[in-house]
Amino acid sequence: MSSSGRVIRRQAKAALPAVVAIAAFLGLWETLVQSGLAPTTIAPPSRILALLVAERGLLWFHVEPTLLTALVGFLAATLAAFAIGLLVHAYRRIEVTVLTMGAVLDSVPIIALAPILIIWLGLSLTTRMTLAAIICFFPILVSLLQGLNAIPRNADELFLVLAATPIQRFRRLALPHAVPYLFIGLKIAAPLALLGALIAESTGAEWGLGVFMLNAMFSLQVDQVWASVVLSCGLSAAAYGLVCLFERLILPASTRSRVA
Amino acid sequence: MAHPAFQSRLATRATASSGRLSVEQVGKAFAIDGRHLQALQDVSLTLESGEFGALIGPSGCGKSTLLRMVADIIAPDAGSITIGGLPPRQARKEHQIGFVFQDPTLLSWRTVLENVRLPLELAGRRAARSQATPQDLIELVGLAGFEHARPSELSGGMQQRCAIARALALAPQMLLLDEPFGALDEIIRYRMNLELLRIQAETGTTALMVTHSIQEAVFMADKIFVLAAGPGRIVDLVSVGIERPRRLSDMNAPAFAAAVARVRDSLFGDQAGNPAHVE
Repeated sequence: MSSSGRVIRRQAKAALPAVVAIAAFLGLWETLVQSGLAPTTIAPPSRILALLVAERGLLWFHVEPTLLTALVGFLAATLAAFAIGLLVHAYRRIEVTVLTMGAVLDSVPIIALAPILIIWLGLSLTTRMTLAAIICFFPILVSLLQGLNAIPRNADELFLVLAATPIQRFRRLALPHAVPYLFIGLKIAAPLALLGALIAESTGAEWGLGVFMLNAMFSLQVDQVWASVVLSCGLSAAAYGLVCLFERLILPASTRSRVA
Repeated sequence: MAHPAFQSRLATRATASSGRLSVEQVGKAFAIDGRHLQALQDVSLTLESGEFGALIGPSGCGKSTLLRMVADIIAPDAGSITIGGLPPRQARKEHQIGFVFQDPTLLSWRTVLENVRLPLELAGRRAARSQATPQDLIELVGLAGFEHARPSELSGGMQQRCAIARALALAPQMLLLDEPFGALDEIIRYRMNLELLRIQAETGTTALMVTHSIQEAVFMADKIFVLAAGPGRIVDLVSVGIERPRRLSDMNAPAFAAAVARVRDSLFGDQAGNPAHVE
């Protein structure tokens, strides 16, 4: 009890300067807007917060499909990366080809991919999920492959001497070894999935935070625009935080520090 | 005398020459930077079932290469190797080979027990003919009480004990050790030497160990194969006649000193008697 209390106190102490800085920033922002020194197109924090609370029903109505799009896209990308990772692991020769293709796909701006996908799949939830998946696929794949390739020679030889089958080798050696690396990719990908969902929604959807943002912009609802910006920032940070939490839950501390 | 779990195995050992290692005129060349390097040439050696052999020689004499060929990690260019009459590939597939690396090579995400159990998981139940359970092996190597510790929580010596237990998990006929105690300090090293001798006697496995230490080679082995480099070849076979079980006090025996001197002479040739030359 005392040790965990100490840890919390130490972490609180470490976070104090950041909290003070943010509070000061918000205070300055509020004062500047209230005193009329800042343009009226900037909403003060108090009004943004008030709007977030007052319109929580409407906002959740829009946030829910965005979260669903991002989550499904993220999971689909992870699944695809695993499938391709297994394939590359089995056939080393295709690695360069796969990485090149992945890099090319990743270099196509998501905003340019959207019209093509809309033509293929229509203005549907599937299209938006696919876009979210595409934008976060590459970082996951790269980190997974890096982890799969980082197996020490001795461990490789150990599994050879033990006459392990390729599947046993993948499951019991390569995959556990790759997980700490994989999490680096997942941490980058989680906020990206949300970004993908927002972009996909802004190219055409009925509901979603992206739609809400766009509508607020076109109708010059300054407070609503700011609220949607703050909300998407919070959601991105939360997505990142969730991946970190998940990492902490499934990886022992010793493995975590290995890559850091 | 033997650990109960191994007794029946020892009984079968006595009648069959199941763990006999035979290396005949083996050669291996590597191409490094486009240059042809003859790592080993015409290497022949035999170890009878249950014998302990040591490979000693300067860096680059191919002793690790030889060990890796016995384990079927790499294939020889010439000659033949058999373990209990089987070629290395078949012996490996039948789980007759245990390998201990210099680096313990434990899986960091697994506990001691899970690491020792790994070979059983990979081989499946059918191949698990060893009557010693992972728990028995952990006790055999003196890690009782640490079953659920992770490798990072263990000292270097304890990690290597765990690696030895893992190598023995499928009761292999051939135990190969590549400088297993090279990274340990001398005090722990002596202790591990004694432990390994006890374990090898109890399991009755044939053992072949690469070492850089003349003392260790003489203390552990029945037969010492002295290698020279360029090309890697065996230049001397030293039989150590000290009785088993061996004790640290055997190091004071005249036979011990004689064997050490013989290995040293074989390693250093005529330089052995020269005074250190100071420029």
